[in-house]
Amino acid sequence: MKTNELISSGILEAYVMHVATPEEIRLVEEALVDPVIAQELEEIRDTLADFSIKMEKPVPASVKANLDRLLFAEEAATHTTEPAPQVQAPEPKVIQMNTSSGSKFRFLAAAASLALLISLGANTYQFMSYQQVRDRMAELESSNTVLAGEIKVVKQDLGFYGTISNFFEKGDIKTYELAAVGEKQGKAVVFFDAKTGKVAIKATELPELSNEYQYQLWALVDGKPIDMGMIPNDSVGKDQLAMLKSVKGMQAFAITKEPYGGKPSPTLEEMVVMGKV
Amino acid sequence: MKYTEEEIVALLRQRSKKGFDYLYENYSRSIYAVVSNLIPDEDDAQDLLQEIFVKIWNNFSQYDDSKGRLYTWMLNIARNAAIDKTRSKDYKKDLKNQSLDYSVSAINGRNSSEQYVDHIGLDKILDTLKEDQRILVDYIYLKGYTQAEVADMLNIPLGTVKTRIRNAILTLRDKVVEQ
Repeated sequence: MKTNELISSGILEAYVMHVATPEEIRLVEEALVDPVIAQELEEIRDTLADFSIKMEKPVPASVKANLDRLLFAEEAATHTTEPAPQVQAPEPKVIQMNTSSGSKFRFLAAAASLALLISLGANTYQFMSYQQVRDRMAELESSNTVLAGEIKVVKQDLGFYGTISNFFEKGDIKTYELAAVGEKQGKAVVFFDAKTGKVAIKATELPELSNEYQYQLWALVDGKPIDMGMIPNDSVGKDQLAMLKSVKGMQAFAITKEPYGGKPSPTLEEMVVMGKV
Repeated sequence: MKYTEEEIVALLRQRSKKGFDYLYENYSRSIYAVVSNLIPDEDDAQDLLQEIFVKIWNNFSQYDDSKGRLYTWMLNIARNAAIDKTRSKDYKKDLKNQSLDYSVSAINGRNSSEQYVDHIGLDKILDTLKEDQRILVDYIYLKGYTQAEVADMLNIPLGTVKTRIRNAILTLRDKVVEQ
Protein backbone atom coordinates (compact mmCIF):
# COMPACT_ATOMS: atom_id res chain seq x y z
CA MET A 1 0.00 0.00 0.00
CA LYS A 2 1.34 3.44 -0.87
CA THR A 3 2.02 6.00 1.84
CA ASN A 4 -0.93 8.21 0.90
CA GLU A 5 -3.29 5.31 0.55
CA LEU A 6 -2.33 4.01 3.96
CA ILE A 7 -2.76 7.43 5.54
CA SER A 8 -6.22 7.96 4.10
CA SER A 9 -7.37 4.38 4.71
CA GLY A 10 -8.28 4.89 8.37
CA ILE A 11 -6.01 1.98 9.29
CA LEU A 12 -3.52 4.20 11.14
CA GLU A 13 -6.34 5.51 13.31
CA ALA A 14 -7.48 1.96 14.06
CA TYR A 15 -3.89 1.06 14.93
CA VAL A 16 -3.51 3.96 17.35
CA MET A 17 -6.86 3.17 18.95
CA HIS A 18 -5.81 -0.47 19.41
CA VAL A 19 -8.71 -1.74 17.35
CA ALA A 20 -6.79 -2.78 14.21
CA THR A 21 -6.96 -6.38 12.95
CA PRO A 22 -3.76 -8.48 13.11
CA GLU A 23 -3.32 -7.99 9.37
CA GLU A 24 -3.67 -4.22 9.68
CA ILE A 25 -1.21 -4.19 12.57
CA ARG A 26 1.34 -6.01 10.40
CA LEU A 27 0.74 -3.56 7.55
CA VAL A 28 1.29 -0.54 9.79
CA GLU A 29 4.34 -1.97 11.51
CA GLU A 30 5.98 -2.73 8.19
CA ALA A 31 5.26 0.80 7.02
CA LEU A 32 6.73 2.38 10.16
CA VAL A 33 10.15 2.74 8.52
CA ASP A 34 8.56 5.44 6.39
CA PRO A 35 9.07 8.68 8.35
CA VAL A 36 5.89 10.18 6.88
CA ILE A 37 3.86 7.30 8.31
CA ALA A 38 5.67 7.49 11.65
CA GLN A 39 4.96 11.23 11.83
CA GLU A 40 1.29 10.76 10.92
CA LEU A 41 0.92 8.06 13.59
CA GLU A 42 2.41 10.32 16.24
CA GLU A 43 0.06 13.15 15.22
CA ILE A 44 -2.97 10.89 15.52
CA ARG A 45 -1.68 9.76 18.93
CA ASP A 46 -1.19 13.35 20.08
CA THR A 47 -4.64 14.36 18.86
CA LEU A 48 -6.28 11.58 20.82
CA ALA A 49 -4.09 12.34 23.83
CA ASP A 50 -5.11 16.01 23.73
CA PHE A 51 -8.69 14.88 23.45
CA SER A 52 -8.67 12.33 26.24
CA ILE A 53 -6.72 14.46 28.70
CA LYS A 54 -9.84 16.62 28.85
CA MET A 55 -11.72 13.79 30.52
CA GLU A 56 -11.21 13.35 34.20
CA LYS A 57 -12.58 11.00 36.78
CA PRO A 58 -11.62 11.28 40.46
CA VAL A 59 -9.54 8.35 41.64
CA PRO A 60 -10.04 6.93 45.15
CA ALA A 61 -7.01 7.63 47.34
CA SER A 62 -6.59 3.90 47.95
CA VAL A 63 -5.07 3.45 44.48
CA LYS A 64 -2.20 5.84 45.20
CA ALA A 65 -1.69 4.32 48.64
CA ASN A 66 -1.41 0.85 47.05
CA LEU A 67 1.04 2.15 44.48
CA ASP A 68 3.20 3.76 47.13
CA ARG A 69 3.23 0.50 49.01
CA LEU A 70 3.98 -1.55 45.88
CA LEU A 71 6.62 0.69 44.36
CA PHE A 72 8.19 2.56 47.23
CA ALA A 73 7.71 0.45 50.35
CA GLU A 74 10.91 -1.46 49.54
CA GLU A 75 12.76 1.78 49.07
CA ALA A 76 11.46 3.11 52.39
CA ALA A 77 12.50 -0.13 54.08
CA THR A 78 16.02 -0.05 52.65
CA HIS A 79 16.27 3.56 53.75
CA THR A 80 15.64 2.71 57.35
CA THR A 81 17.74 -0.46 57.43
CA GLU A 82 20.60 1.16 55.55
CA PRO A 83 23.80 0.56 57.55
CA ALA A 84 24.65 3.48 59.77
CA PRO A 85 27.68 5.44 58.60
CA GLN A 86 30.84 4.07 60.14
CA VAL A 87 32.15 6.14 62.96
CA GLN A 88 35.65 7.12 62.06
CA ALA A 89 37.64 6.81 65.19
CA PRO A 90 40.67 9.04 65.03
CA GLU A 91 43.76 7.02 64.31
CA PRO A 92 45.56 6.52 67.61
CA LYS A 93 48.98 8.00 67.59
CA VAL A 94 51.56 5.32 67.97
CA ILE A 95 54.23 6.40 70.30
CA GLN A 96 57.36 4.36 70.58
CA MET A 97 57.58 3.35 74.18
CA ASN A 98 60.99 3.56 75.46
CA THR A 99 60.71 1.47 78.58
CA SER A 100 64.01 2.59 79.80
CA SER A 101 63.08 6.26 79.95
CA GLY A 102 60.33 5.71 82.49
CA SER A 103 57.49 7.81 83.78
CA LYS A 104 57.45 10.64 81.19
CA PHE A 105 56.46 8.22 78.44
CA ARG A 106 54.04 6.42 80.68
CA PHE A 107 52.36 9.77 81.34
CA LEU A 108 52.22 10.56 77.60
CA ALA A 109 50.74 7.13 76.84
CA ALA A 110 48.06 7.61 79.49
CA ALA A 111 47.28 11.09 78.14
CA ALA A 112 46.99 9.76 74.58
CA SER A 113 44.66 6.97 75.72
CA LEU A 114 42.52 9.47 77.59
CA ALA A 115 42.39 11.75 74.54
CA LEU A 116 41.32 8.79 72.44
CA LEU A 117 38.58 7.86 74.91
CA ILE A 118 37.24 11.41 75.00
CA SER A 119 37.27 11.62 71.24
CA LEU A 120 35.46 8.27 70.92
CA GLY A 121 32.89 9.43 73.43
CA ALA A 122 32.29 12.66 71.56
CA ASN A 123 31.96 10.77 68.30
CA THR A 124 29.45 8.36 69.76
CA TYR A 125 27.44 11.23 71.19
CA GLN A 126 27.44 13.03 67.86
CA PHE A 127 26.47 9.86 66.03
CA MET A 128 23.57 9.25 68.39
CA SER A 129 22.16 12.70 67.89
CA TYR A 130 22.66 12.29 64.12
CA GLN A 131 20.60 9.09 64.29
CA GLN A 132 17.90 10.85 66.28
CA VAL A 133 17.68 13.57 63.65
CA ARG A 134 17.48 10.97 60.93
CA ASP A 135 14.73 9.04 62.66
CA ARG A 136 12.85 12.24 63.24
CA MET A 137 13.19 13.13 59.56
CA ALA A 138 11.92 9.74 58.49
CA GLU A 139 8.96 10.17 60.83
CA LEU A 140 8.21 13.61 59.43
CA GLU A 141 8.49 12.35 55.88
CA SER A 142 6.03 9.56 56.46
CA SER A 143 3.55 11.77 58.27
CA ASN A 144 3.88 14.15 55.35
CA THR A 145 2.87 11.42 52.94
CA VAL A 146 -0.05 10.48 55.13
CA LEU A 147 -1.16 14.12 55.23
CA ALA A 148 -0.88 14.46 51.46
CA GLY A 149 -3.08 11.37 51.11
CA GLU A 150 -5.63 12.79 53.50
CA ILE A 151 -5.70 16.12 51.70
CA LYS A 152 -6.44 14.31 48.46
CA VAL A 153 -9.36 12.49 50.05
CA VAL A 154 -10.67 15.75 51.49
CA LYS A 155 -10.38 17.38 48.06
CA GLN A 156 -12.38 14.57 46.51
CA ASP A 157 -14.98 14.79 49.24
CA LEU A 158 -15.23 18.53 48.67
CA GLY A 159 -15.80 17.97 44.97
CA PHE A 160 -18.54 15.51 45.79
CA TYR A 161 -20.24 17.83 48.27
CA GLY A 162 -20.07 20.56 45.65
CA THR A 163 -22.07 18.33 43.34
CA ILE A 164 -24.53 17.54 46.10
CA SER A 165 -25.05 21.12 47.16
CA ASN A 166 -25.52 22.11 43.54
CA PHE A 167 -28.14 19.40 43.24
CA PHE A 168 -30.11 20.75 46.19
CA GLU A 169 -29.67 24.42 45.36
CA LYS A 170 -30.56 24.34 41.68
CA GLY A 171 -32.97 21.42 41.62
CA ASP A 172 -36.67 21.14 42.27
CA ILE A 173 -36.19 18.48 44.92
CA LYS A 174 -38.87 16.03 45.97
CA THR A 175 -38.22 13.68 48.87
CA TYR A 176 -39.58 10.14 48.89
CA GLU A 177 -39.33 7.81 51.86
CA LEU A 178 -38.90 4.15 51.08
CA ALA A 179 -40.28 1.93 53.84
CA ALA A 180 -39.41 -1.66 54.74
CA VAL A 181 -41.20 -4.37 52.74
CA GLY A 182 -42.81 -7.27 54.65
CA GLU A 183 -40.46 -8.71 57.25
CA LYS A 184 -37.49 -6.68 55.99
CA GLN A 185 -35.77 -4.03 58.09
CA GLY A 186 -34.69 -0.48 57.32
CA LYS A 187 -35.69 2.57 55.34
CA ALA A 188 -34.13 4.89 52.82
CA VAL A 189 -34.74 8.33 51.39
CA VAL A 190 -34.70 9.24 47.70
CA PHE A 191 -34.13 12.85 46.66
CA PHE A 192 -35.46 13.42 43.19
CA ASP A 193 -34.85 16.52 41.10
CA ALA A 194 -38.05 16.99 39.12
CA LYS A 195 -36.25 19.41 36.77
CA THR A 196 -33.41 17.16 35.62
CA GLY A 197 -34.50 13.72 36.78
CA LYS A 198 -31.32 13.36 38.85
CA VAL A 199 -31.55 11.08 41.85
CA ALA A 200 -29.63 11.00 45.13
CA ILE A 201 -30.10 8.35 47.77
CA LYS A 202 -29.54 8.29 51.49
CA ALA A 203 -29.18 4.76 52.81
CA THR A 204 -28.43 5.66 56.42
CA GLU A 205 -30.99 3.29 57.82
CA LEU A 206 -30.40 0.27 55.63
CA PRO A 207 -28.61 -2.72 57.22
CA GLU A 208 -24.94 -2.85 56.20
CA LEU A 209 -23.92 -5.53 53.67
CA SER A 210 -20.92 -7.80 53.28
CA ASN A 211 -18.76 -7.29 50.18
CA GLU A 212 -20.53 -9.90 48.09
CA TYR A 213 -23.74 -7.88 48.10
CA GLN A 214 -24.88 -4.42 47.13
CA TYR A 215 -28.15 -2.55 47.22
CA GLN A 216 -29.59 -1.69 43.85
CA LEU A 217 -32.10 1.08 43.32
CA TRP A 218 -34.97 0.63 40.90
CA ALA A 219 -37.53 3.02 39.53
CA LEU A 220 -40.89 1.72 38.42
CA VAL A 221 -41.82 3.36 35.12
CA ASP A 222 -45.08 2.27 33.43
CA GLY A 223 -45.04 -0.93 35.44
CA LYS A 224 -41.44 -1.82 34.45
CA PRO A 225 -38.44 -1.71 36.80
CA ILE A 226 -35.62 0.53 35.53
CA ASP A 227 -32.12 0.02 36.91
CA MET A 228 -31.05 3.17 38.75
CA GLY A 229 -27.60 1.93 39.71
CA MET A 230 -25.80 0.50 42.70
CA ILE A 231 -25.63 2.16 46.11
CA PRO A 232 -21.96 2.14 47.13
CA ASN A 233 -21.53 -0.09 50.18
CA ASP A 234 -19.48 2.54 51.96
CA SER A 235 -22.44 4.93 52.01
CA VAL A 236 -24.80 2.33 53.49
CA GLY A 237 -25.54 2.83 57.19
CA LYS A 238 -23.78 6.18 57.13
CA ASP A 239 -25.01 9.70 57.01
CA GLN A 240 -23.98 10.02 53.38
CA LEU A 241 -25.57 10.69 50.04
CA ALA A 242 -24.87 8.86 46.80
CA MET A 243 -25.79 10.17 43.36
CA LEU A 244 -27.31 7.51 41.11
CA LYS A 245 -28.75 7.45 37.59
CA SER A 246 -31.45 9.81 36.33
CA VAL A 247 -35.04 8.94 35.63
CA LYS A 248 -38.36 10.55 34.72
CA GLY A 249 -41.99 9.59 34.97
CA MET A 250 -41.57 6.93 37.63
CA GLN A 251 -44.41 5.73 39.87
CA ALA A 252 -42.29 4.20 42.62
CA PHE A 253 -38.77 3.57 43.86
CA ALA A 254 -37.56 0.31 45.39
CA ILE A 255 -34.30 -1.13 46.64
CA THR A 256 -33.27 -4.76 46.33
CA LYS A 257 -30.31 -6.61 47.79
CA GLU A 258 -28.33 -8.11 44.89
CA PRO A 259 -24.99 -9.81 44.28
CA TYR A 260 -22.18 -7.23 44.05
CA GLY A 261 -22.48 -5.27 40.79
CA GLY A 262 -26.22 -5.74 40.54
CA LYS A 263 -28.60 -7.47 38.15
CA PRO A 264 -30.39 -6.42 34.97
CA SER A 265 -33.75 -7.06 36.64
CA PRO A 266 -34.65 -6.97 40.32
CA THR A 267 -34.79 -10.06 42.57
CA LEU A 268 -38.25 -9.41 43.97
CA GLU A 269 -37.93 -11.57 47.08
CA GLU A 270 -34.88 -9.47 48.03
CA MET A 271 -36.80 -6.21 47.89
CA VAL A 272 -35.88 -4.39 51.08
CA VAL A 273 -37.66 -1.05 50.92
CA MET A 274 -40.14 0.60 48.62
CA GLY A 275 -41.95 3.90 48.30
CA LYS A 276 -44.62 5.22 45.92
CA VAL A 277 -44.22 8.58 44.27
CA MET B 1 5.10 22.89 42.33
CA LYS B 2 4.95 22.83 38.56
CA TYR B 3 7.48 20.97 36.45
CA THR B 4 8.12 21.13 32.74
CA GLU B 5 7.85 17.88 30.83
CA GLU B 6 11.67 17.70 30.58
CA GLU B 7 11.95 18.06 34.34
CA ILE B 8 9.43 15.29 35.05
CA VAL B 9 11.19 13.00 32.58
CA ALA B 10 14.53 13.76 34.23
CA LEU B 11 13.07 13.06 37.70
CA LEU B 12 11.57 9.79 36.53
CA ARG B 13 14.85 8.73 34.94
CA GLN B 14 16.48 9.28 38.33
CA ARG B 15 13.74 7.02 39.77
CA SER B 16 12.54 9.88 41.93
CA LYS B 17 9.34 9.34 43.91
CA LYS B 18 8.70 13.04 43.51
CA GLY B 19 8.58 12.52 39.75
CA PHE B 20 6.17 9.62 40.15
CA ASP B 21 3.94 11.58 42.54
CA TYR B 22 3.78 14.47 40.11
CA LEU B 23 2.92 12.19 37.22
CA TYR B 24 0.18 10.56 39.27
CA GLU B 25 -1.23 13.81 40.56
CA ASN B 26 -1.47 15.28 37.07
CA TYR B 27 -2.46 12.36 34.90
CA SER B 28 -4.15 9.67 37.01
CA ARG B 29 -7.62 11.22 36.77
CA SER B 30 -7.57 11.44 33.02
CA ILE B 31 -6.06 7.97 32.57
CA TYR B 32 -8.72 6.70 34.97
CA ALA B 33 -11.44 8.31 32.85
CA VAL B 34 -10.06 6.60 29.74
CA VAL B 35 -9.85 3.25 31.54
CA SER B 36 -13.32 3.63 33.10
CA ASN B 37 -14.87 4.15 29.71
CA LEU B 38 -13.40 0.88 28.54
CA ILE B 39 -13.88 -0.99 31.84
CA PRO B 40 -17.09 0.22 33.48
CA ASP B 41 -16.69 -1.83 36.67
CA GLU B 42 -15.10 0.52 39.20
CA ASP B 43 -13.06 -2.10 41.06
CA ASP B 44 -11.70 -3.58 37.84
CA ALA B 45 -10.90 -0.13 36.52
CA GLN B 46 -9.08 0.83 39.72
CA ASP B 47 -7.05 -2.40 39.71
CA LEU B 48 -6.11 -1.75 36.13
CA LEU B 49 -5.20 1.87 36.80
CA GLN B 50 -2.84 0.61 39.48
CA GLU B 51 -1.30 -1.92 37.09
CA ILE B 52 -0.87 0.81 34.49
CA PHE B 53 1.05 3.09 36.83
CA VAL B 54 3.25 0.17 37.91
CA LYS B 55 3.96 -0.46 34.22
CA ILE B 56 4.72 3.19 33.57
CA TRP B 57 7.15 3.25 36.49
CA ASN B 58 8.81 -0.08 35.71
CA ASN B 59 9.12 0.52 31.97
CA PHE B 60 10.05 4.15 32.09
CA SER B 61 13.47 3.46 30.57
CA GLN B 62 11.61 2.54 27.37
CA TYR B 63 10.18 6.01 27.00
CA ASP B 64 12.03 7.91 24.29
CA ASP B 65 11.28 11.61 24.47
CA SER B 66 12.61 12.19 20.98
CA LYS B 67 9.81 9.98 19.65
CA GLY B 68 6.83 11.54 21.35
CA ARG B 69 5.21 13.26 24.28
CA LEU B 70 5.07 11.74 27.74
CA TYR B 71 1.28 11.69 28.13
CA THR B 72 0.87 10.21 24.66
CA TRP B 73 3.22 7.40 25.70
CA MET B 74 1.38 6.85 29.00
CA LEU B 75 -1.98 6.85 27.29
CA ASN B 76 -0.74 4.24 24.84
CA ILE B 77 0.25 1.96 27.73
CA ALA B 78 -3.07 2.58 29.44
CA ARG B 79 -5.21 1.85 26.40
CA ASN B 80 -3.16 -1.19 25.53
CA ALA B 81 -3.73 -2.62 28.99
CA ALA B 82 -7.43 -1.74 29.06
CA ILE B 83 -8.18 -3.07 25.60
CA ASP B 84 -6.25 -6.25 26.33
CA LYS B 85 -8.52 -6.70 29.31
CA THR B 86 -11.72 -6.12 27.35
CA ARG B 87 -10.52 -8.66 24.77
CA SER B 88 -9.74 -11.29 27.40
CA LYS B 89 -12.00 -14.34 27.51
CA ASP B 90 -13.76 -13.82 30.81
CA TYR B 91 -14.38 -10.19 30.00
CA LYS B 92 -16.06 -10.78 26.63
CA LYS B 93 -19.09 -12.30 28.30
CA ASP B 94 -19.75 -9.15 30.29
CA LEU B 95 -19.25 -6.93 27.29
CA LYS B 96 -21.89 -8.85 25.37
CA ASN B 97 -24.35 -8.25 28.14
CA GLN B 98 -23.61 -4.56 28.09
CA SER B 99 -23.70 -3.96 24.36
CA LEU B 100 -27.46 -3.60 24.47
CA ASP B 101 -27.28 -0.73 26.96
CA TYR B 102 -24.74 1.04 24.80
CA SER B 103 -26.89 0.82 21.70
CA VAL B 104 -29.77 2.22 23.67
CA SER B 105 -27.71 5.16 24.86
CA ALA B 106 -26.56 5.80 21.31
CA ILE B 107 -30.15 5.91 20.12
CA ASN B 108 -30.89 8.33 22.90
CA GLY B 109 -28.30 10.49 21.22
CA ARG B 110 -26.00 11.02 24.18
CA ASN B 111 -22.89 8.98 24.82
CA SER B 112 -22.95 6.67 27.77
CA SER B 113 -19.49 7.84 28.83
CA GLU B 114 -21.24 10.76 30.49
CA GLN B 115 -22.25 8.75 33.48
CA TYR B 116 -18.64 7.79 34.17
CA VAL B 117 -16.75 10.90 33.42
CA ASP B 118 -16.55 14.55 34.33
CA HIS B 119 -15.96 16.30 31.08
CA ILE B 120 -13.75 19.34 30.88
CA GLY B 121 -14.47 20.96 27.58
CA LEU B 122 -14.86 17.52 26.10
CA ASP B 123 -18.51 18.00 25.22
CA LYS B 124 -17.61 21.16 23.38
CA ILE B 125 -15.13 19.28 21.26
CA LEU B 126 -17.41 16.31 20.73
CA ASP B 127 -20.18 18.67 19.70
CA THR B 128 -18.04 19.89 16.80
CA LEU B 129 -18.24 16.39 15.35
CA LYS B 130 -21.12 15.29 13.22
CA GLU B 131 -23.49 12.90 14.97
CA ASP B 132 -22.35 9.91 12.89
CA GLN B 133 -18.70 10.71 13.67
CA ARG B 134 -19.39 11.26 17.35
CA ILE B 135 -20.99 7.85 17.72
CA LEU B 136 -17.92 6.23 16.15
CA VAL B 137 -15.51 8.08 18.44
CA ASP B 138 -17.66 7.03 21.36
CA TYR B 139 -17.86 3.37 20.40
CA ILE B 140 -14.40 2.83 18.98
CA TYR B 141 -12.14 5.21 20.87
CA LEU B 142 -13.90 5.54 24.19
CA LYS B 143 -15.51 2.11 24.43
CA GLY B 144 -12.93 0.08 22.50
CA TYR B 145 -15.21 -1.71 20.05
CA THR B 146 -13.52 -2.90 16.86
CA GLN B 147 -14.43 -1.24 13.58
CA ALA B 148 -15.99 -4.49 12.38
CA GLU B 149 -18.15 -4.74 15.51
CA VAL B 150 -19.39 -1.19 15.09
CA ALA B 151 -20.05 -1.66 11.37
CA ASP B 152 -22.13 -4.67 12.32
CA MET B 153 -23.94 -2.98 15.17
CA LEU B 154 -24.83 0.20 13.28
CA ASN B 155 -25.34 -1.68 10.04
CA ILE B 156 -22.95 0.41 7.93
CA PRO B 157 -20.18 -0.83 5.61
CA LEU B 158 -16.77 -1.37 7.24
CA GLY B 159 -15.11 0.95 4.68
CA THR B 160 -17.47 3.75 5.71
CA VAL B 161 -16.61 3.22 9.38
CA LYS B 162 -12.92 3.55 8.53
CA THR B 163 -13.19 6.76 6.55
CA ARG B 164 -15.64 8.29 9.02
CA ILE B 165 -13.38 7.68 11.98
CA ARG B 166 -10.46 9.15 10.06
CA ASN B 167 -12.50 12.26 9.25
CA ALA B 168 -13.59 12.50 12.86
CA ILE B 169 -9.98 12.49 14.02
CA LEU B 170 -8.99 15.04 11.40
CA THR B 171 -11.74 17.31 12.75
CA LEU B 172 -10.57 16.69 16.32
CA ARG B 173 -7.02 17.49 15.28
CA ASP B 174 -8.11 20.93 14.09
CA LYS B 175 -10.30 21.57 17.12
CA VAL B 176 -7.76 20.49 19.70
CA VAL B 177 -5.06 22.60 18.05
CA GLU B 178 -7.40 25.60 17.99
CA GLN B 179 -7.96 25.50 21.76
